[in-house]
Amino acid sequence: MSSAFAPHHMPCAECGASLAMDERADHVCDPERRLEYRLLQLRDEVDGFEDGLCGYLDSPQGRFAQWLAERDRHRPKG
Amino acid sequence: MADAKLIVKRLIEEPWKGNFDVIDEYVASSFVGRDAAEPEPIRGPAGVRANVEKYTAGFPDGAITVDDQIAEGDKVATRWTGRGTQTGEVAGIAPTGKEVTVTGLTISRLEDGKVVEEWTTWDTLGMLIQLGAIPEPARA
Repeated sequence: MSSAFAPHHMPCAECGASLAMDERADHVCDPERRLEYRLLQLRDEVDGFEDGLCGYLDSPQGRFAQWLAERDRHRPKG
Repeated sequence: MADAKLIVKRLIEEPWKGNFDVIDEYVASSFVGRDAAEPEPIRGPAGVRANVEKYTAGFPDGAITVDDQIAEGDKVATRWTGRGTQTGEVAGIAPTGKEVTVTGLTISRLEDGKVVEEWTTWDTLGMLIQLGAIPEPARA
């Protein structure tokens, strides 16, 4: 196997942090960085979810669900 | 007049911190830069700024650090390392969130305290592999 053209640094697959070859074994992901990295990877899904949610809320079923939730919210407890 | 090595160091590092004034201060209007990653020469202060902005748009947290410099005659050789997280588009590559580290060499020629000519080579292939645009070669 050849290692020609292999870069000295590669991003961590979990958090995207740039790691030198000799840092890989000891690397521990920063939780905040990992979350940001994962959210960026999922941005299309997140955007799609928000578009889908807005579409649903604008549909007859969604409008009724909102009306029902609002009514329940104001209903006296107990 | 500032030391030639310091001029080049500031010119390489400062624009990445948003300080574009150093470009007008230290780049001659007749400047021609030859970057192995660019199909055409970079010309004048406006060309230098546009080239930096192209990368800072892709790597807003990017920074370049000068690692070593050697000066001889009217030239300064600089070894540098660039590091940044790709949250914007670069070379047609959509944001990946990946942090990359690349190294490069720049030779600058100065006249009257300004850089008039530059030759740069840097690890473009390494950046593309780190961003996943090119498969990582198998390691021995």
